[in-house]
Amino acid sequence: MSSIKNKVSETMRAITLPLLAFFLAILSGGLLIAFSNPEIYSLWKSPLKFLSTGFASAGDAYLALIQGSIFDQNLTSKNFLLGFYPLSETFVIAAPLILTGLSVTLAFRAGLFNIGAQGQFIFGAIGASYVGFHYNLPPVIHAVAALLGAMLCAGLWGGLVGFLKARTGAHEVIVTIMLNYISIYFLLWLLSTQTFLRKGRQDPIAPPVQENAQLPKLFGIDYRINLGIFIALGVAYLIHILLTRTTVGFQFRSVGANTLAAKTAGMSVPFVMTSVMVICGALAGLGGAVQVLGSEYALTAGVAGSFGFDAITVALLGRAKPLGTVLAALLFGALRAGGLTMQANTTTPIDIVLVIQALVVLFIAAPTMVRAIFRLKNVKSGTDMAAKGWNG
Amino acid sequence: MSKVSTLTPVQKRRRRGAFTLLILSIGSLVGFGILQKNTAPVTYRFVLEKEWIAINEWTLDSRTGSYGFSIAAILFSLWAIISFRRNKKIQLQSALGGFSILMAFLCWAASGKMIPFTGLLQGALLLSVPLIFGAMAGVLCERSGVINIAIEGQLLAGAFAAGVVASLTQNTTWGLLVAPIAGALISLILAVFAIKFSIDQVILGFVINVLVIGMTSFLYKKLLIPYQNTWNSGPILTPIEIPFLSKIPLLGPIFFNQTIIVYLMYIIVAVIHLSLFKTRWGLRTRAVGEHPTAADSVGIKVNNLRFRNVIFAGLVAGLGGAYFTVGAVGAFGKEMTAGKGFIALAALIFGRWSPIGAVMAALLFGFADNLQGVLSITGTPIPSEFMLMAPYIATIIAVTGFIGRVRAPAADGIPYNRGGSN
Amino acid sequence: MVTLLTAEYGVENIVKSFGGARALSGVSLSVKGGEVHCIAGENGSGKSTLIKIMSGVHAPDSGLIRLGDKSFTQLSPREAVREGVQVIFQDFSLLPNLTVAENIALPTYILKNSRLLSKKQTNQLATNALDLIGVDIDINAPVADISIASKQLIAIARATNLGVKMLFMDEPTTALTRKEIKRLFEVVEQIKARGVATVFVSHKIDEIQEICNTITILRNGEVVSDGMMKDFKRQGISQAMTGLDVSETRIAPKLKKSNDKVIEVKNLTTKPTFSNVSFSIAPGEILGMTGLLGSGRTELAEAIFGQYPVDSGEVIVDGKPIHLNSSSAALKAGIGYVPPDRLTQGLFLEQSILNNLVAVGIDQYQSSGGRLAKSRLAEAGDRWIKDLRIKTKNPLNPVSSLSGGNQQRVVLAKWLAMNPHLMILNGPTVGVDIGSKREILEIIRDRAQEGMSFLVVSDDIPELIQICHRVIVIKNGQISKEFSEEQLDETVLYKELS
Repeated sequence: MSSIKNKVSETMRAITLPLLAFFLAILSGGLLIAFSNPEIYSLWKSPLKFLSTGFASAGDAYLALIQGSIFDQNLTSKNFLLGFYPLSETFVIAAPLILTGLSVTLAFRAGLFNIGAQGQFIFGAIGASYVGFHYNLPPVIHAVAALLGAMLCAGLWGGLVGFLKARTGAHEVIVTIMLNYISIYFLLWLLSTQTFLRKGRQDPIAPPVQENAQLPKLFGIDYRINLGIFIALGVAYLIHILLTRTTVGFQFRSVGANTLAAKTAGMSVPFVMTSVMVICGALAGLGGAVQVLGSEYALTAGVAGSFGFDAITVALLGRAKPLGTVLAALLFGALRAGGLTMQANTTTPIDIVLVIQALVVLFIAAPTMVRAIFRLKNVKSGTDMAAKGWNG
Repeated sequence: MSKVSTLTPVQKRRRRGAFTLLILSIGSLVGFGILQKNTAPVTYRFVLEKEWIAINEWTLDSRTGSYGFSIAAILFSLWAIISFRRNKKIQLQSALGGFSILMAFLCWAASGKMIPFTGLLQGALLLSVPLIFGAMAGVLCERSGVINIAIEGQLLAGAFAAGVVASLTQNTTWGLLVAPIAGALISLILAVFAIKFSIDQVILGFVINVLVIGMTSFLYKKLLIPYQNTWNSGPILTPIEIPFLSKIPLLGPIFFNQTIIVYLMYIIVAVIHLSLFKTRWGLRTRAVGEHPTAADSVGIKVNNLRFRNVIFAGLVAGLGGAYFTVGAVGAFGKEMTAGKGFIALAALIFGRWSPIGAVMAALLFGFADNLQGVLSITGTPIPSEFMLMAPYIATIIAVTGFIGRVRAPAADGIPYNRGGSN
Repeated sequence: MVTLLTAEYGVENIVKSFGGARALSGVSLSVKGGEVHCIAGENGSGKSTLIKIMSGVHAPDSGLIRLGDKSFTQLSPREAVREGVQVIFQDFSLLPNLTVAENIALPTYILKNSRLLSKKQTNQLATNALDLIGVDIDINAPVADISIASKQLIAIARATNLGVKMLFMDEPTTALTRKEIKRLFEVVEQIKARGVATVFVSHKIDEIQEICNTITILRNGEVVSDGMMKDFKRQGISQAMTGLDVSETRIAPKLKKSNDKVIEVKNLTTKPTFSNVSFSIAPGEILGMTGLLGSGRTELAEAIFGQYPVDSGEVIVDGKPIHLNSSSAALKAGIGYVPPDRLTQGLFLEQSILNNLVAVGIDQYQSSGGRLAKSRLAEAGDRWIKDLRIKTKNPLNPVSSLSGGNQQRVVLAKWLAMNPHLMILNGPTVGVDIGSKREILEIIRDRAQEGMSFLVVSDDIPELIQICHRVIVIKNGQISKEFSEEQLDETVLYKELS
């Protein structure tokens, strides 16, 4: 009994901080929405009206956000279930976000900071797209081949980072920042080559992936939700198992905890770093594949959006744990999906989502501050953001 | 007694540099000279406008040019090797060699075309301006031991603030005054969280960038687009011609017919360089970035100094951000810094964390960027995307140490807590 | 100058606790200008806390700091410097990327209110300071490029430049050769002659006796003995330091005569670190290896374990040469390695005791499909905690919650679990209290009796004599001498070392 109680209180302590941080971020975002409404300033004289207008504009925006991410009454005219279309969108966005988030999470656990998920995502998308449009394969096999192609491309791209770090000590953050830009330009160049140019088009878009390579939709053509979300959840479970229950995962965590000690314990640090980054790359690449094969069906210059960067905030909010990463990705997926509706229905730009995302992470990173605001004592603060230098 | 083959790190670096230069020169001879299929005249134009005319145009055969410059490069690298043997500096030789290789490349790439040489350099300088400001912000932070990934955010905040304020007041001066303050506010977040809360500075810088991008994009869509006339139609600075200096052939119009921001940049670079190596503040800053405990033991207030330097950095980067709006196009655009902050970071690293090195790297990156632009118009054998990659590849090569490893200040990124539990 | 010579510096009744643990309980000491004083004590006796209080890093809970005719209840680092208190820590606190001149001039610039530096002035300051202590070093070289001995002298020069009145030197001779130590002592005589109160913090009794006039011995945060150096005998000092009757009896088990060799090292060479090192170890034998810091002893140990690159030579285990430069090959061949610095190299501090215990050879606990066999893990953990008497309530607590001695046992257990043929122990008892030290040595003895071989790398000569069958001394990367069981003698060994 007491162990269950302990576990519950443990979990409570673990999620209190993220929840409070999220609450604070939403609050700050609301203030920003309210005060960026120019009309509000003419109401200075009547405080009540001033407040209610501000409250209303923030409320409207957040309501639209929820409408756009979970359930929208306006869509139910034909069929009640269609009201859940936004929820399907949330999952569509969350799937690649989970995968890229896991990429960052796994790297964190092995003591590496993978800012390169963006570039790895691009390489995954390239691999998936190429296998998807260039070959003719039977159903299932084609999709699997495309996914594998993505993991291979991105895995190598990610592995390069680990290799350089292990061999030369080059800081992975610097290398990944640079590789991200190289990936973008590489993609742009690729889309201008004959192979990747869609027939009859001049703009940077690759030929569509063939139907056999596309990930099946789960609930018919009305909803965009596809197998991608299950792939993402399955992979998250695998990463959880990898980290907690396997000897390889034990080695990853050991290297993350103390590289020198891992070395003297006879573990091969270069091997671990390289293989971790290969897996991280493959994960982010899988994200790119899910995006291309599951919802976009073609490689474009903007295919990566900001998935690779959101992944970092996702991993940080998820406290570098697979389950946390999944939850954080669902949350940010909802914010993104809802943000589009919010932008369309109210005058609130989707960019507020970025602000909220950044603030959440800032608040989480500074537990002392959140504790001070809420006068808490018993909040678990992670050590996952302890500082390390350029040379370490 | 035979000479012992133990070289100091500096000598080793020189040796590697000299030999790398030689290999590149030979590569240039082969690649741009021997392997050049067709040859055609290349024309260099040196005239921008009304400066004293020394040379107007220079036309030469592209293959001959490539051969000539490659051979010159080989000679320079041999000179460098001789100097290395005599234990002398090889900076001048490397610069000349590099320049020759570049010219050989230009002869090859622009075969049969015209290159507006002066315009190329002027454009390169303009493209380098934000990079230089950003890199100086990096120097200020990182030399005192705080990693600054938030340069992008500081630039963007400066650009936004300058654009909006200049538009609201219809006065560029106000824009210029407010931009540094905006940059410093962003720095304040960095300073408080990094120094007070000891949070990983890479993560922090990253998150700050997201925050600034989100904020500016949000306000841009919410205010700057709908109310463009009042909020986003700022005036721009006009170039100031410096009498006499601007009349120097070739260099005059490039360096001395610029806006006030560029002149401020010259001053800032000079001040930072001199201060870092010639003043007590500089000595303290370097001490704190290297070994905070030792600095503390001689009575330097480590965290105060770091805090101040990070705020200074914000002021500098913010002013650099103003270049995007009041210094160039007037109106603010969503994410208009477009990764320049990260190239500035690359320049900082490529320049080995030294102000002059960073400026040189920024100029080089600016030049590559502009060259790419010019060549993509005239047409070239190399896809422009690959030229755009150049700064990033160069930086990776620098940090992986294929040409002499660069190392950050020893304590860069490590928070200092006195008597803490280590 | 005259006032300096008679001035007294020191502390009175200093008490300092850290989170309930008493580090110093009422320590007093006094040093006169122109005197060389020694603070001796074991690890954890309060030596470093005392230095940190004098240099303003820590504030004492109570007590007084006396500097000449002034007294303070506490000092800030800045005040300490202003009052002429300087500490040369073991890392010398020098700035590697700055030149020698800049390093020496830095504190002067900081104290003075000149905002600008001139190269001329910097060089002048540096040259003067180095001249004062009679030393000649290239002042334009970056500090990173110069030798340890020179760094030490630069640190002294820097201190004198600040008008030092009381100079602490923390274990100043650890990394120095005999010749360099001589030179250091000459410099100390110089500053002594200028009226500086010098405090040597050391446990090397020979050197203390050579250079110091007076001595204070600390144990468990208290002064157990003090007085004039000449009144102390060697035995008396170490007895006062440890509080034990240190007739350190040998506990090495009897070695069975055999021609078997567990390991043979042949002509191991990596220039310039070590060259042509050959030795072998018999089953159940405990071989000691000692040498000064920088002699190559640590690198040799690491090389045998595959962690330090080897240019040429062989390591033969059980008749078969093993693949060099690979710790996993060494591990497979049955070689274990306990690193000298357990905090940075030996332990995953924030991870559980259990995880630490099983970290080596985690593959042993693998069930099908690379999965961790959790029950076997827990079993192994419990067994080792019991076997080595590791004091903990819960194996899932982080290892950082343990005391130094218990942490060291975790490191040992982690390797014993592998049941290696040869265990390399690098500084097995560094930073461990006397009681634990004894127990750790006994663990080594018991295992050796069961046939495990050991290579013990240490600079603790008495410890080596206590436990080893044979000792080799490494000098400049080569075996300078080998001592058989009968030849083991402290004085002889010390002599050979330096």
